Amino acid sequence: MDAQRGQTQEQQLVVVRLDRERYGVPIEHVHEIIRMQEVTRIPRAPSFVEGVINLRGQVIPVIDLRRRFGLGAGEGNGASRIVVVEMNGSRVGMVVDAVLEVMRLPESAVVPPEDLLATSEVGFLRGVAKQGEELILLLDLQRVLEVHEQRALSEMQTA
Amino acid sequence: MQLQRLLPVFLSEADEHLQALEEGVLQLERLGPTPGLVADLFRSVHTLKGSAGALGFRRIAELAHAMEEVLEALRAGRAADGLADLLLECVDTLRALRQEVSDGGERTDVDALVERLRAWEEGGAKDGLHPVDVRVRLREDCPMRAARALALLRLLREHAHVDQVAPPEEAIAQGQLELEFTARVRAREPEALQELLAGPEVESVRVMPAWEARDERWLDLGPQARGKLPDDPELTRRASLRTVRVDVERLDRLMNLVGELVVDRIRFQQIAERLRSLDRANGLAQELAEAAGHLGRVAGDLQAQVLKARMLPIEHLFSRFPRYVRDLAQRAGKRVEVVLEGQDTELDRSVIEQIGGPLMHLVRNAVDHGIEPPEERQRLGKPAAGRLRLAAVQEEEGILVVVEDDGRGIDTDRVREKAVALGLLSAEAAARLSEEEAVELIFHPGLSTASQVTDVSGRGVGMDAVRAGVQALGGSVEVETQRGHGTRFVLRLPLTLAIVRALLVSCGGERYAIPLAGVQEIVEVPAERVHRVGSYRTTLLRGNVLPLVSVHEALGLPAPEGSGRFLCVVTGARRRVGLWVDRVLGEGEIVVKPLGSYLGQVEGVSGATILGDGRVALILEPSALVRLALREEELAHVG
Amino acid sequence: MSARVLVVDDALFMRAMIREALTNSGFQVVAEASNGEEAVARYEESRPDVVTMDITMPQMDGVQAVREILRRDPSARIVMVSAMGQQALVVEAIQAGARDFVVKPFDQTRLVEAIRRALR
Repeated sequence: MDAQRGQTQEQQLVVVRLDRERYGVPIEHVHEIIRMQEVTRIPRAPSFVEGVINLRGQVIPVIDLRRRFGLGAGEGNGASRIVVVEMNGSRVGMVVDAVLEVMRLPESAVVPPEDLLATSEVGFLRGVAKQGEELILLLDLQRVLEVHEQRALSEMQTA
Repeated sequence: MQLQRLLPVFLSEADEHLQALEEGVLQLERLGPTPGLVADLFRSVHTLKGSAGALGFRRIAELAHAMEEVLEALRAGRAADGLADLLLECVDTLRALRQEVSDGGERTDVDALVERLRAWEEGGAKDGLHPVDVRVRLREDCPMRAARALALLRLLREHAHVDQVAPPEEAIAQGQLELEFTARVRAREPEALQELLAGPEVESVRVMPAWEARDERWLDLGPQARGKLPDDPELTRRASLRTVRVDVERLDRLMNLVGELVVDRIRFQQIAERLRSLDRANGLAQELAEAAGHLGRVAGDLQAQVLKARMLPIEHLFSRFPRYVRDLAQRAGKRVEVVLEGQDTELDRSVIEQIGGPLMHLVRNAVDHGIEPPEERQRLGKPAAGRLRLAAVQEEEGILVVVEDDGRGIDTDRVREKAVALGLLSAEAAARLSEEEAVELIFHPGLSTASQVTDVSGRGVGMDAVRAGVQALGGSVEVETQRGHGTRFVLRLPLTLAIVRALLVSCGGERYAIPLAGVQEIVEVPAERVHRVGSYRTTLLRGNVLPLVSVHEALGLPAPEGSGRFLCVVTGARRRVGLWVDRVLGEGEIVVKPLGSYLGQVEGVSGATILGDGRVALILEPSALVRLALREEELAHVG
Repeated sequence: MSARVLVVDDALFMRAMIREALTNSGFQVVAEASNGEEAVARYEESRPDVVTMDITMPQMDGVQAVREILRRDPSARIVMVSAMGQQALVVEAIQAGARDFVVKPFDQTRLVEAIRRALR
């Protein structure tokens, strides 16, 4: 019984690093993790939109999480990866400084972000988890990927 | 779980049936309940009812059932008076329910509609005669079957008009009868026939609605209506076995893979070329070149086949218009006859998806502004009903779609006035415009929206959006008009968007593709021949002023360096514009890929393609770049 | 009011049997004939509601008699009484205008039913 309940309240995360922070991405949204590749820039796109890449024949957009969160420029070392996530039917790549691990996290370890943080990215988080001495910031992908202006544009297209 | 899986199938089938229903009802309105038509309608409703029932969509099933009953009455010979409107309402409601089902559950109420269908049904038959098929099966031990059959037919004649018998009576008289015969009759009370014919020698009597009962009504409808007769069921069955439904996404994925293959082919060929130049002596390089050549041909064929699989007849689009026009005309108090031509003309589904909006707008304009009210038309000696023609023709490189009305034409004087009133150009400039140039003004962003003074349809993109939409597809729009006689729009469209020939250019360090369809010529213009006039640049090309648009500026890229400048001269219908790029790298076929919904519409960019080295290049949309780069008043000035 | 019947058959036995069956069922046999010619004459005299008509008879056969009677009275209702193996003749009679038929040997209810049907 206990084990079962424990299971239902657990989540699996891909833990990535951005700057000095650790972020958790729900594994069910992660499509794959690829090495950095050359990105084709998109003119007049929001600044955090890095551009588009070729993912085995599919053209997918890539966003720069650092810029999304208002952090400084990236490190540009070999550890950078693109985490390809799937949200609302579209695939989007997120550039991170490194991918650290995949872990299980009991739901009980999660607290609302406001309680612990007062940073600019609070709006993109759905919670914070304590793991030993470290904090893992849980990304709210919906909000991370939201592009209001763009959404409005594409709606105009289809209307 | 099971149901979840079936839902998409249901939804897509429902769409097809609803479309078929709508078309059918419009025909019903025009031609009356021809038997084949009613049978088609019945089949659509029946299928819809069946699958909705199976999936537990109670309201759809209930409404479909009530529609079935009404169609049954039509089949039994009832006139369709006043039914078209009611049935169209049903179709709309079914559409709404279909949408609701896909969003989570049925919400729209059907009770009132069902009630009205019932009320119509109870209205009763007009001439009192119902066409039915009577099928009589004799008992195995019936003596003298032929004589019995003839006697029963004799009896039937006393109570009904017998129109046809199968097998024919002469054949029966000669003993060519197994146990069954069928008579097509018209009877006042078809139900009574069953009892009439029952007897000790008779195994069963079935009185069936006459599915394909022939009545005089369809005989004089001409070849078109005759084409609508139900097909040979055997042929239909065989055809359906040879067709499979393929998810559009799968086709897209297939297209992606083929695109990859094409990219690899190009790389292969490049490698073979290089290898050949390295060791001419070794036959291996030659072999590789040959293999690469073969791979290229296979990939090419494969690509052609996949492209073909993506083609749809333009009927998918055209078929919406009769209903659309009917509703528009009704609201505008006009009479409009829709003529559809070239419905089998095939286009890539992506093109079909994207020209719907522009076509709809042209059609709406034709009904709202082009075609006159019936009284006015009669005064002018025109037929009371306006004619709206939608035609598609395949040409060598693409498709022509024509939207033509026989209405009042474009009043170029008024267009000029408007343009001046809106400050788009001076009165003198307006007066200097040729008729053709004045007509072109309707595509001006400032004017096309303002001219919709009497726009009953309310919202709507202007003519500039129509042109932009078509140009985004690599096509063009031209207009011809004659005052008092009508207006014709000709849309030139590519066969497919999936693969286009394009020019590869570089700008600000990135490579871009520009579809060749929009490129007229490539010329190099030295810096000293570029003139600044205010905030824009021009040059002289064979004595004509050519406005220049910097791709860099339009896209926000760093300014070009070096002295050698290339200009791709593109055309936006009658307006020629030079696009300024750093270098022209080459030309070739590219596989067009969408940028995806996440980025939405990127201004100036119509999609992306993957180059031979695996990198992504954006495909530029010249007409949008021009819009981006030039402000409206400038356009008016240079246009 | 009971329907009036003319019974035509060259066999006295058959006529008797048919009359009995009909009378039992409430019909009224108003005349009998033993060949076609006689049948036409009796029909003219008595103008019955329905006729039972044998097929094989001397002088004029049943099929010819049907034609003659219908020529005189297109609304005449005639039920053929046929022996097995005479289908071609029955077909002919029906094409000539006979309404129904029974096949000998028949059970009485069959005949009565056929006559009722013809009278409808």
